[in-house]
Amino acid sequence: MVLGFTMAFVISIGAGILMGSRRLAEGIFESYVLVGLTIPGLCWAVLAVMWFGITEMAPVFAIFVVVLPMLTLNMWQGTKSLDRDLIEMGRVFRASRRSMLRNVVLPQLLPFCLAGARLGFALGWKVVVLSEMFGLSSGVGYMINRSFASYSMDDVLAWTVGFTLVMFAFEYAVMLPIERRLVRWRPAVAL
Amino acid sequence: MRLDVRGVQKQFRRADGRALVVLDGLDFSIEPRGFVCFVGPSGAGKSTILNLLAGLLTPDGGAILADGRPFDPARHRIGYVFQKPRLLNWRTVRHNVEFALEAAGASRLERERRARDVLALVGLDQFADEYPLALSGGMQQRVAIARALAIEPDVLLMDEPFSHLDELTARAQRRELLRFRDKIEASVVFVTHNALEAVYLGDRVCVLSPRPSRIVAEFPIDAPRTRGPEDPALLALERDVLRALGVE
Repeated sequence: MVLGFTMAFVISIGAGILMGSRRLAEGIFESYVLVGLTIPGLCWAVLAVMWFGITEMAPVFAIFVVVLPMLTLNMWQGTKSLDRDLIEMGRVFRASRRSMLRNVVLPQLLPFCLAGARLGFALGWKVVVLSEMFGLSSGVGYMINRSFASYSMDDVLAWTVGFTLVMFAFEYAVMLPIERRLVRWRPAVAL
Repeated sequence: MRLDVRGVQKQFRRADGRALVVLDGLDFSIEPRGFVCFVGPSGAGKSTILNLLAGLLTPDGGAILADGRPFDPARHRIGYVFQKPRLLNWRTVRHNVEFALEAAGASRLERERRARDVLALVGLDQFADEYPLALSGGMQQRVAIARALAIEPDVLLMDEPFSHLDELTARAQRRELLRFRDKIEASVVFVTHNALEAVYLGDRVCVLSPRPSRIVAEFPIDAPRTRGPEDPALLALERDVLRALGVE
């Protein structure tokens, strides 16, 4: 999970920024991203098992392929929504590329990264569970499948709840603290 | 630094492909440490002039000279204050100023020292560790001015910096600008559509015609620096400027 997700995350940042800033890249990758989004995770999970067999590679591949289009779309749209005025300001003051990325560009892409990370993570876990159902002999997916096969609904629910708790833990222990620290500068919005 | 603009031409391409001639043979000079205000109607190319001096645009014709040599924006320090503050909202006030200093190549100690000094100059040293969105519009614009001054620019370009502020705040900011005007070594080009603001702040006011723009009038401002904004001499000058603009 971690491996597949991390790979997708890293590549999507580069690809998304590229697509957002260069029309050529946008033209080339757009159709791949959009098609990639629509192929159901289930299909990828099955294909992965067929290609990679019942190994660790199968879920990694499936996660990567499912999460990548979504994260790339996020970064792509984020890059297109960058504030041109700030970029012009950076150019006038002759900020280096490194300084521009660090101070001007990446902080604006951060909300997109966070949203993408949350969605991608949730999606990735679903793919993991699917993959496990098809191939592996351990893991949550396998256990749910087995419980289902033995008509043991209590077990199915138990595994589902347990899984959900893990997701909650991730959100509260990891994502929210990161987000809180990174958006200190924003005043509260009273609607 | 002395700036000479000779016969500068600039045009843009419109959506339908036709040329939009904004500047057609613009001539003016700024003496070292001069403060020149440009007044003109919308579309007269006021921002274009600033962008040419900032190096964001290159002239289609004519020349710009700095101290007699061809003006290469990359080799001079340019300070720019925009109409809106254009601050990095996710960085503190101090860091916003240091951003420009880092771009100008100052070392870390230099950056910290100069940022501190310039924020004290504009009266924002108490707010150095606040984030921009916690400040009022006038204060944010002051940070923008501090940022431009921090790098000790050769040329300070100001694009209607007070036009988005309410009148009371704008008056206070203009007074403040005059207060530390003597600490500014740069040649200042201040663009505005407000004739009274131009005669209040500048040493010289240049009036631009509508597109394609040329300078139709120049007024040296002799009033002393301690001028009040409604000084009768200034009001007379304002009338002259408005007349040159074709408004009075």
